[in-house]
Amino acid sequence: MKPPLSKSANSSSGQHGSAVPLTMTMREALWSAVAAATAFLPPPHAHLPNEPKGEGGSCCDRTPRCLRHSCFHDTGKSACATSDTATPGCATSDTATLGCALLIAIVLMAGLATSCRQNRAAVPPDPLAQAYDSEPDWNDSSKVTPLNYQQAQGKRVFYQYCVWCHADATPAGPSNRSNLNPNPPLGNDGATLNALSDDFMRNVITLGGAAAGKSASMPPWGKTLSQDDIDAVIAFYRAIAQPPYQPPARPGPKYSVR
Amino acid sequence: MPAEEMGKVPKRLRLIFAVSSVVLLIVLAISPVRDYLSDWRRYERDYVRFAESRPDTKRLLSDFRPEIDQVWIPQMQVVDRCTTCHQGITRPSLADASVPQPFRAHPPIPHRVRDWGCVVCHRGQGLATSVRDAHETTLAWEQPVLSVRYIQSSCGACHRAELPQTPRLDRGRRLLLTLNCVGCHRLQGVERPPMLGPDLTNIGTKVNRAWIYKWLKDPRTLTASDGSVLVNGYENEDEPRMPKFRLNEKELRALSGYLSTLAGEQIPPYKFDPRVVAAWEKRPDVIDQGETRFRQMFCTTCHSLAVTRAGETKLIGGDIGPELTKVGSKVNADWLAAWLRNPQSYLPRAEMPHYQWSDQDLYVVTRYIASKLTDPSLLSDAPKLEAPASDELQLGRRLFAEKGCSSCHVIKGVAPQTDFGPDLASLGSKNASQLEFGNSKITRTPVAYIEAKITDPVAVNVAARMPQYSLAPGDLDALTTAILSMTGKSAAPGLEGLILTAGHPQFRPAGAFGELYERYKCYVCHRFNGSGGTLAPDLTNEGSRAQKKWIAEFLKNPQTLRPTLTFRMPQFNMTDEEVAVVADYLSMVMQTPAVNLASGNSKQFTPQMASLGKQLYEVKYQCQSCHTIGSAGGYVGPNLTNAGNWINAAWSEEWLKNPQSLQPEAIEPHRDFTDEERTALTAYLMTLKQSAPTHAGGGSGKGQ
Repeated sequence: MKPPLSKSANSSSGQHGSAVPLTMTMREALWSAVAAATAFLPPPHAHLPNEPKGEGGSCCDRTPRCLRHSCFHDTGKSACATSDTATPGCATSDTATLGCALLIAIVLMAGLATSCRQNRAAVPPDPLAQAYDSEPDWNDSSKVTPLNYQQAQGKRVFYQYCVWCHADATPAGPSNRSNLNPNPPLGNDGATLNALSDDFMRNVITLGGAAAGKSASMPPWGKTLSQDDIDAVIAFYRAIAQPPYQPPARPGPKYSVR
Repeated sequence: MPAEEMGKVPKRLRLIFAVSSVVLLIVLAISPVRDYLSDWRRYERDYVRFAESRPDTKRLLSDFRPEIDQVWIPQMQVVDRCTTCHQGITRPSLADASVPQPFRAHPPIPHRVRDWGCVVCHRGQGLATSVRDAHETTLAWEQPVLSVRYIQSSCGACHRAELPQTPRLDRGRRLLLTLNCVGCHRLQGVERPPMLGPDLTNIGTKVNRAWIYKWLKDPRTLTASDGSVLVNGYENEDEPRMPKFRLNEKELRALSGYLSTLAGEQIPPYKFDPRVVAAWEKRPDVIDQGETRFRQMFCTTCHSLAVTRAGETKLIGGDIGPELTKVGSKVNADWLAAWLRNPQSYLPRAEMPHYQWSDQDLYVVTRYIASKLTDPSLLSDAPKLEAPASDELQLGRRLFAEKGCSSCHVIKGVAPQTDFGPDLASLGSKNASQLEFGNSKITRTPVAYIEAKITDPVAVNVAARMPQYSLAPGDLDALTTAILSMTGKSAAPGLEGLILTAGHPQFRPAGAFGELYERYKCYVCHRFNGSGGTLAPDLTNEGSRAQKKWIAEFLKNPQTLRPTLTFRMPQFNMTDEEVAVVADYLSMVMQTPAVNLASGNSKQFTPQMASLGKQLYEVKYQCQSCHTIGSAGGYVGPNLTNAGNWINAAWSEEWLKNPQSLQPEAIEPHRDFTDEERTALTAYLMTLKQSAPTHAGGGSGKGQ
């Protein structure tokens, strides 16, 4: 555990000396170019390179509008000089000053525009990179199913308690499944298990097969496993089901991300 | 100046005023605009919109405030503002995958967000309030968010003991040990074991120079004629402990030459009883007999052999000892007999038990291994190697130290090395700028650095001394996770109390039992008081569970308890005195106070109780689904055919009350038996007695 801002107090060993990070992104490069180009401008611009970027998506089209608004509403008629809808009077004024003002506007827009582009270029996530654990497909070992935290806990419970009768291969070798009548369903048997509701599965696991009208060979696990363990193992069954499990339909969200 | 001109300002000046006031206003506007457009404000506005689209708007907005929200844990120096944007993180109703990020609830984990914050596990910058600053490496803030793939490393930063919830981290930590990383590196929470690689003092008596040459050249591909990956002669997915060192031809010749001359304290070859040799030497079935004995002794519980069945070749057997498919072409037959006779005479710390084999067994098994477990082409592609020249010997001796061989291997008279490689105890807490990337093309992140270092050390640093490992992708993830978990000592003073250390010191009994315990290496497979192997049952409570007479019989003739298992206890050929010592110790010392043997075993059972128990066993609880009695039943639990001679009645009753209280990882479900049912089932079990012990071969099983 490391507090967020404290640099490690440990001195680095021979091989890991300190090196300067050279990860200069396009945005930083642009900012430095802009800073160099505007070095002759009045002091307020000096802080521009420190300005944080804008945000994704809408900022590009919003920014010019905002600038225009602020000049019309707040600065009265003289402000026309900087607006892109400048009056003819402005055009006759000193071109150097006008140029400076326009440059400021361009610099601001360019800065915001670059930062917009930065944010849009997000890397699509690899499903396994974001997986807590994974389980190879039982029928096709080249396929791997990513598991989240809960499913990964279910995998642990499954391989400790359930695998002996609900799989054809066990960590110890042969399985007890063929020994039982009726044969228990395989853990990934989507054709059978997908039709059962979470509540029904929870009941069978907690109270045993006999209590749910199934085979009494299925013992009750309610006192051995916690409720979380049982929910986790159901989540694991759902994750590895073939054909894949479709959760019951829910009303779709009205909200959509912009 | 005329009065009418007093108020008049030159046009040029007016223009300058106008422009500069506009500039000033724009500059003044930057801040509020920037604030309005900031990531966190936008996400808060979005959250309100989102909450309004949900049925439970009121609850979702009950404690929402349009400001920066933070979790502050002064003890750990944590200030997390992640919840400013991740507004729904603690709301159970937003757990659904259809909820857009960043509003989705966190999956349930043992730690609460409000107590621990986010960066303790996920890394990143808790103080930042923009998406990029919080999640990525920026010039000012370096620590990027950790991919969930490696998230278990954060558990390991505090939890030094094994956790059932973190399979990847536990695998990585085991790999750190089995790959001997600790030979060269200092690692957090990993002790240097007494023996890392074999002692090479007498290696010249065991193998020849050509074999050493090939092994040094590439331990993985000892016979790669068709390009397949081979270990010690056979295909194996596991990485061999010995990595590949990048040695050139001259170095290979020098080092193999030097090692092949090491026979400093040569053990005289074992002298078989001449009568045994005379009787067996000429017999045509000597090798078949050897194979039979090899099987009967259950050597494959620890060693694997390649077996071809239906055109498919597979390694069958355990992985405690080396794989033996082609060992006959590797080792010297004299050495083999001496080794089987007493492994500790060659390697004092060898994990192989010292079996009490008869000369006849020893002779036939040695003959079997030396003639059947062979491959004549094993060393065919090694160059012709003569006796080494003196300059080769000198170079070989120097290389042994320079390449770091002495970090893992001992040669008597050569100074051992420690800390040959860099200290890795705090590598997990380093930022990219603290790592030496050189001119390499590796992405500048700690995770990419660690992965590159493990997969191809030369890509990071051309002069790297680290040898070459070739890990499976899953193992690479696991190892990276374990290395990331080594964050060194934390700067936060409040944190030390939170760190959970790995427990359980080694169990080392004294006295007569202690000697046998060492001699037969019980701890390699069995667990005692939390330390030892996991292949065979935990014997911590064996004295409470099993009857002493049964323990003694079992040691003389191990039989199978769990029919599914291919791993069985080998026959040790113990003497009667040794059996008595071990049975005494196990039944007297390895007990749990939870089982009261004195009162439980004196209980009188009536035939009525037993018949009720039989009915419960067969009908109501269907125990036969998992347990076998006679020839019928399941394979999950132990065979109960001889339960009346095996189990203590007191243990049975206590076990039926709650199996996990006696053995936390027991598979048997904890059921609601009434006192009467428990007594009846125990009474039934006590009637199950096998008249004569079977001689079908040994058996003892793994817990799961």
